[in-house]
Amino acid sequence: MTVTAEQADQAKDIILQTLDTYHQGRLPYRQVWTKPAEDFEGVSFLDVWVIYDGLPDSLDIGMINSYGSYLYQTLLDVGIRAIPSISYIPQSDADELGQAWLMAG
Amino acid sequence: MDWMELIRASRLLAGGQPSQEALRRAVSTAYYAMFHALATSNADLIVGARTQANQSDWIATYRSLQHFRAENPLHGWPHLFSLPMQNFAFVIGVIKRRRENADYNPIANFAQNDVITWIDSAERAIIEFNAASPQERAMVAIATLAGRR
Repeated sequence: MTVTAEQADQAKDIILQTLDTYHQGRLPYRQVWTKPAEDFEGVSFLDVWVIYDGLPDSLDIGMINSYGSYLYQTLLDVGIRAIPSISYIPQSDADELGQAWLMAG
Repeated sequence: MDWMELIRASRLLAGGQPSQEALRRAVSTAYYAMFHALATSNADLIVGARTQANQSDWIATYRSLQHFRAENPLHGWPHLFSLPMQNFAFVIGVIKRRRENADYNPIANFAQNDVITWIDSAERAIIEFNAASPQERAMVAIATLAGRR
């Protein structure tokens, strides 16, 4: 079942509360966007954009992978059954592609 | 299938100034790198390293892995698995959906930086998966081949 808009907002709050700590302050993010989604088999996802300043090669991939599975468990703990699909998007790409992302299914 | 070659192909597709079509193929290929890494591990753990004598059993086990089972059992039983294994399950689950969008959603749009980050994530997840103990990978093989009720 698709997560509700309220759950997507709740998830966004959780991300905002945990992102900085988990990345040990090394991810200079500006904004977090979330939207509910499903795959072809009806599995619930939460699409997330973390918009950040800086260069892509400054991202710590190990931390990104473990933050994703940590967030998945944290969402389950509060009753949100959705796999967070997190995109780390530089601000310049967000300016260019953000509207299309918001409109896309 | 050599997962490292698939990751390399994915990087070639996503590099330079790629078209949306190239980015779609890059996402799909990165997913298949993970899928084939898992299928190889399953066959190696269940049948043993591939030889002339066991080749047909090895291939049958390799081909038994179904897409919808590649990550779901691990999400169902996270307490049984180490963090690298949970990370692998998480990444393959997310990248599978991205692959579906890449292959079938005509209005999906892909950002080059994001695609490259996901290729990096897939590669890291596979390396850590392959470094896990044979016992844990055997549990994964059972979980992904048998599924759950």
